[in-house]
Amino acid sequence: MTPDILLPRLLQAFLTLLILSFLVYTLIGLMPGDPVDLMIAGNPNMTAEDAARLREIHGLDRPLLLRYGSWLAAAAAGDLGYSRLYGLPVLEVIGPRVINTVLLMGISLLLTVAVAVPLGVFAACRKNRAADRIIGFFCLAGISLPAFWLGLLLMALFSVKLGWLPAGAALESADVKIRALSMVMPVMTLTLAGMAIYIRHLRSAMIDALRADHIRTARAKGCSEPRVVWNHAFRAALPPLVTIFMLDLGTLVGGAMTVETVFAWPGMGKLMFDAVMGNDYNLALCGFLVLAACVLAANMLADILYTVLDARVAAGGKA
Amino acid sequence: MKLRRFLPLGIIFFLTLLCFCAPLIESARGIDSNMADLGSRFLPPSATYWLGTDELGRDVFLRLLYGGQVSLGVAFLAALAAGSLGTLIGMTAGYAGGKTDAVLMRLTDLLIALPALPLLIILAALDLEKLGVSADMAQAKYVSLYKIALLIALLSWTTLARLARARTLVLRQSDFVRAARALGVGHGRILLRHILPNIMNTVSVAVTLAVGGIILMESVLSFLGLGIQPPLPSWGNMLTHAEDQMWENAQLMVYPGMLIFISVLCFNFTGDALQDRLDPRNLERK
Repeated sequence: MTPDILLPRLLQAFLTLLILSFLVYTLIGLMPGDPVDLMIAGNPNMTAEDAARLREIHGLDRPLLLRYGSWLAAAAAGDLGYSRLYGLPVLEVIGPRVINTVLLMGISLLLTVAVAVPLGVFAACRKNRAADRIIGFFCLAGISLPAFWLGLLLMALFSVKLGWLPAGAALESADVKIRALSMVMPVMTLTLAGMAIYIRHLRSAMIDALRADHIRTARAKGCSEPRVVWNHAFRAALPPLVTIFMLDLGTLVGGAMTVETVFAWPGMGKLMFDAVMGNDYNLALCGFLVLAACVLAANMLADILYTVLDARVAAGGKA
Repeated sequence: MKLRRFLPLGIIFFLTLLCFCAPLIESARGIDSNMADLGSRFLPPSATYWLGTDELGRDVFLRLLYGGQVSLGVAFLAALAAGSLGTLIGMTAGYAGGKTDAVLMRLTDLLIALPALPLLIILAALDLEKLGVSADMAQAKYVSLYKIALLIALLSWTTLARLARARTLVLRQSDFVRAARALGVGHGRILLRHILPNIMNTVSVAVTLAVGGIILMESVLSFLGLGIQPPLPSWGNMLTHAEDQMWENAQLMVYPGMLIFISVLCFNFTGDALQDRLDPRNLERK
């Protein structure tokens, strides 16, 4: 992708984020209570006049647009403010959480791909036969399974009944073994819950790819079946898959969020949930913007990857 | 063959019917499903309490039925709203074309890309009173039901809009629409009488497929405590305390999850089967 295509896309993503930040800023102002209410809640000596004065000092009585303007100016200078819940600058709270979420999603994504690729390709090769039907049924079941309930069931089985695995994430534990064991269930839940959708996409992409003329050519000139499937068909099915993977990231983040909450995994999803529950507006706002920025970046990456993977686009033609 | 195709639909129908018969069953058995009785907490299944009682001594079976009313009700309501909104937006974009189309589709793409659940969590936590809803109304028992249905609908019309737009784009160029134009039929009438009936097939399949996802969304939100507010039960919020209960009363977390799973599975099965029938690529099989 040349810079003259990339630049407008970057600009567009930036503008989108700007609009989003305003929308979320407005929305968060509509949440119950305001910071001053929370400040004076624990102090019986405060009067209504004190509260009004505090609001004036902190600029809470100014119109929405002005408040947003000063928030944006500070944000542009790198100051996203403090988190009320944690008493730390927002960026310092978010930083480690992003890494934890990336860790969780990364491991389960690798596992997902490792399982979904062989199964999806296999199902496509056996289209409408018994094996395909069985895989198809389990995929439909996987899509219909509430991820949080799956997590709860696993927890009931492995932590309560068998006592093999710790029920919550223990990422800060000094013992490497406990840390690793505590990661098993969240990763397993996310993988099991996310796998089905990829197998289905892969299957239909492979079926389309196997129908193409160049496959018939490859078979006609005597290519072995595995070579036809992997080198010819799978290669052709890859570009649309990458797009689906990346576009699905928003859903994936949602899935990670539920799993994080169930297993108390200290990631972005848990953070957002705690922030909203604890009336920490600023943290919720920044958390959502960081998530949205990641997803938008992934979408852009998908476009770039597409041009690399798809020979027709890479050669300068239109796909 | 026939039976297998109708089984999922039959299960949904039966479940819905059963859930909405809950008041009848309740009065026939003389149990109040909302009555907390701390003396009879966590009872095992018996002739009186078919599936036992929960942490407040309420009958689990009846709570499941009432929860089903809410969960399925929210799903039907949200699917209907999302379907109407998506069709309206998609048809407008496809028919008007030009700038309207560009703006509407840009909005759709953005909404598809955004992480839905975090956004939903922010939206669900909004204070209704600050939005100009009176305090009485904001506190009403069923308000969380309508709120969640509306919010989910606001975030799930996108796929439907894209489908409706794609179909409208094709239909707009068709001979019968152009003939209608030439006869002087107005735009509104063309959309309503000529285009809408022709996209209903596609849209209704997509809505059926969307219902499953909507049930899942509602259950997650309610499980997290941001969706349907107790004492109104839903299958999702009946699982809120599952983590505390799984040590001694694990059976309590099995039923609601199972019902969510079964109903979503049935909707997905029905939607998939309908889609297969409408997909021209599958005609070669017959």
